[in-house]
Amino acid sequence: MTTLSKLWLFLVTLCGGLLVLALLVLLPELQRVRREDQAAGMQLAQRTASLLLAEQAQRLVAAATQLASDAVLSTSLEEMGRGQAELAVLHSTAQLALQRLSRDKALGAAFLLATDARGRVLARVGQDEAVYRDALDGWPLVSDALRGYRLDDLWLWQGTLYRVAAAPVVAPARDRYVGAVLVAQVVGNELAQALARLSGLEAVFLCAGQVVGASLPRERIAVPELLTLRAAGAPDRLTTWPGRGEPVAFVELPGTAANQGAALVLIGRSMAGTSPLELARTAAARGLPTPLLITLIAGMAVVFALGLLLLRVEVEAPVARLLEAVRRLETSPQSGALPASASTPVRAAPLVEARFRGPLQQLARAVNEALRTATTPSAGTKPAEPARGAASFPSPQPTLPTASPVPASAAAPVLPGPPDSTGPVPVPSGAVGPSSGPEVAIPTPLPTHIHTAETRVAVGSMADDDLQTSYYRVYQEFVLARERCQESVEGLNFELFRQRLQQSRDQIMSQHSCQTVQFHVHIKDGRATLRATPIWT
Amino acid sequence: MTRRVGILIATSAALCLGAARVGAAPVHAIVHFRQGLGALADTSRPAKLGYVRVQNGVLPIAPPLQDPRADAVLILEPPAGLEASAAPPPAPASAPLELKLYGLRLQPAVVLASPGDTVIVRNEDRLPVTLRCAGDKTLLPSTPLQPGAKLALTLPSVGEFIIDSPEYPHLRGLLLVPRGLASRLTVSEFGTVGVAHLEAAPGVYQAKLLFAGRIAASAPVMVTASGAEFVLQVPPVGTAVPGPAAASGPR
Repeated sequence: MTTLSKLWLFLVTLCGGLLVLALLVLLPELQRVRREDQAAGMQLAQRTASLLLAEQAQRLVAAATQLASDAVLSTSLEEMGRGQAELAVLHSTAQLALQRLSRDKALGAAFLLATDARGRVLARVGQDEAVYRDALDGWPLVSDALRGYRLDDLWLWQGTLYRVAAAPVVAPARDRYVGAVLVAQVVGNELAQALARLSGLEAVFLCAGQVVGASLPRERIAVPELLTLRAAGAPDRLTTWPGRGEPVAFVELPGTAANQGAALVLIGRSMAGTSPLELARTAAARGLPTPLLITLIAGMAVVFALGLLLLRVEVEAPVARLLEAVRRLETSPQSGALPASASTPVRAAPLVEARFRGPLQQLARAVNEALRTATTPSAGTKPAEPARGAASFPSPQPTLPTASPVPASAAAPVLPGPPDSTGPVPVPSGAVGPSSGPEVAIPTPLPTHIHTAETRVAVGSMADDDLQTSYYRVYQEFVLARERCQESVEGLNFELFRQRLQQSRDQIMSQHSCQTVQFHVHIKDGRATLRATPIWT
Repeated sequence: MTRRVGILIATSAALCLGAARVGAAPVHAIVHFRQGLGALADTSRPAKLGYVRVQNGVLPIAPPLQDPRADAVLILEPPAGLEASAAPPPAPASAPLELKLYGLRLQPAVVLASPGDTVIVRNEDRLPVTLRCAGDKTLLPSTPLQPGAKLALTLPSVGEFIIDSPEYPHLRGLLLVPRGLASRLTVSEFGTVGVAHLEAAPGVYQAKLLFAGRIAASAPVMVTASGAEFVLQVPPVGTAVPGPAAASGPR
C-alpha cells in the first residue's frame, strides 16, 4: 500500500467516523422533532375532528329545519294537537311526508320522526315505523326543540350512537309551535373512516364502554386499555398508548351520550417503526438540520466517497487485476493443449510482473516463482533454488544429452546465428508477431544486475505429449527470460510459439539429418533469444 | 366570631330544649324566582347538548313543557349534630307514593317520602328501562323494568336517593327522605314567587331550596315560639342572571 493509499485510508476512516458521530448526534434530535410534529399533528387532528363533527351537526340541523318547514307536516301536527282528526290518518299522512322529504333531500338519515307539541310521536321513518303516540319529551333535545330551539344531540340508542338534530315545527299561522322534527344519522364506522381519511389517523368512537364505530377492525382495538387510558387523565388530551407507543388523542363528544362516556379516539402511528430516512424527511420539512450542518455532512460524505473511489483505484483495482491474472493461470487456453502428467504439474503462463507495482508486483513475482518451481520436472532434475531476484531463477536441466556443436550453417536459416553450432530461432511476440517474418525477438538492454543464463531443452523424436511439454517448457523459459530482461511479453502466445519451434525443428532436422533438435533460451547482453542445436546421437 | 357561634349554638340548644314544651310554630318561606322559567330550565340543565343550539328566528323561545318550579322543595334541616326531635314527625303517607316513567322521564322529578314509605315505580313507556340508585345499590333490581310493569320500593332511611338509568342518562328522579322538614312550593300565577308553609319547633334551622335536582339556595333560619318567615332568592343575590334570550317569561 502506497503512502497515498494510507493517507486516503486515514481520511476515509476519519470522515466515516465523523459521519457516524454526526448521525448519532442528529438522530435523537430528528426523533424529537418527529415527536413534536406528531404531537402537533395530533392536536390538529383533534381540532379538525371537532370542527368536522360540528360542521356536520350544523348541516343536519339545517336539514331538520328544512323538513320542519314542510306544510304537510305542519298541518298534520297542528291537527294532532287539536285532537279532532283521526290519528291514524294523520300518522299515515305525516309518515308519507317524512318519507318523501327523506328521499328528496338525500339525507342519508338513519331515522326521522315528528312529534306534536307535547312530544308525542306522530310518525317515524326508518325505525319502528308502525309505532306512534309514544312520548319522547323526556329527551332534552325534544323538549328544547318544542320550545323553539334548533339543535343537535348525541344519543346512544339501543347500542348505536346517533347524531340527532331537531327543529321546531311552527303552525301554519306562525303563532305557536305545533311540534318538532328529528333527523338522526349514525355515528359509526363510516364517519370514523371519513375522519381517518381526513386526519391520517385511526378513529374510534367509544360510548358506554364499547366501540360503536371505528376505522380499523374492532379486534385490533383494546377497549379496556383505551378506557383506562382515558380515565387516567384529563379529557381532550394527548397521550401515548403504554406498551404500544402509539400517540392517542381523545375528543370528548357532547350531548346526552357524553354522560355515557362518548368520545372519539384518534390513534396515530408508533415512532418505533419510523425509519431514519423518514425522520430525515420530516425534519427537512421543518428546516432541520441547519444548512451549515447539511454542508458539513455533505462535505464529509463527498470526501468519504472520494476516498472510497481512490482506495478502489489504489488497492482494489490492482488486486482485482492480479486476481484476474491468477484466474487466467488456471484457465489458460494452453492448458488444454498440454497433457497433465507428473512431469508437467503446472501448465500456465507466468504473470506479467510489469503490470503491477509495489507489493503486488512482488506478489506476482512470488506467484511466478511458485509456478516455476512447480513446473520443474521432478525426475532427473535438480530441485530449484529459492527465488531471489532474476539471478536466482531456476535453470531447468536438459532432459536430453547435450548435442554436439553444429556449424553455424546448421542453425536455423531464418536467423543469423552465432559462429557456434546454435542459432537464434524466430519467436512470435507482441512486437514481433508471426506475420512479421523470421525475426529474432527485439533485443532489449539488460540491466547490469541481471545475469546471463541459458536454458537448454531438447526437442526431438519423442512422443507428441512429451514434445508438447518440451515446447511449453521452452516457452515458459523464454517468457521468464524476457521478463528478467524486462522485455515486453505482450502478445506472446504459446500456440504461435509452438508452431515456430515446430517449423524450425522440422527444417533443421531435414537440413542436418539429425535425430532431434535442442532449443535453449539464451540471455546475452540483456536480450532473450532462442537457439536451436541439432543433435545426432 | 367564636363567641357568636357559641352563643348561637347555646341559643339553639336552649330553644330546642324549650320547644319540647312549647310545641311547633308556623314557618312561612317565600321563594323569589329572579329568572324566567326558560332561564331556570336552562340553568337546571346538567350539561350542554350537541354542537348547535340556536333559536329558530320565527317565534320566540317558549317555556319548557315541564315547570321545574313544580318540583321545588323547601327543606328545613336542624343544625348538624342535633336531631330534629323537636320537630313533629312527618305524617306517614296515606297511599303509596308513585313514580311514573313516561316519555323517558320520571314524574314527578322529586318524591318526598318518609323512612319506611313505599314508592311504586311504574313504566308507562314502550321500552324497557333499567333503573339504578347509586346511593343504595340494593334499592333497585339490576334487571330492566318492562313496559307496563311496576316496582315497589321501600325507602330505608333518611337520605336522597337519586334514580337514573344507564341507558338513558337524561332520565333522573329523586326520592327524598329529608332529615328535617320539607314541603313543596305553591307557585304564584306568574311563577315569580313560591310559598311554603311548615310547622316547626322553635330553633335554628338551615333552610334549603331543592330546585332542579340541586340546592339552589340556602339560608339559616331561627324559628321562635311565634314562628318565622324568611325569603330565599333563586338564583341567590350576586349570581349573574342570563340574558334576555334565556330569560323568557312563563307561558
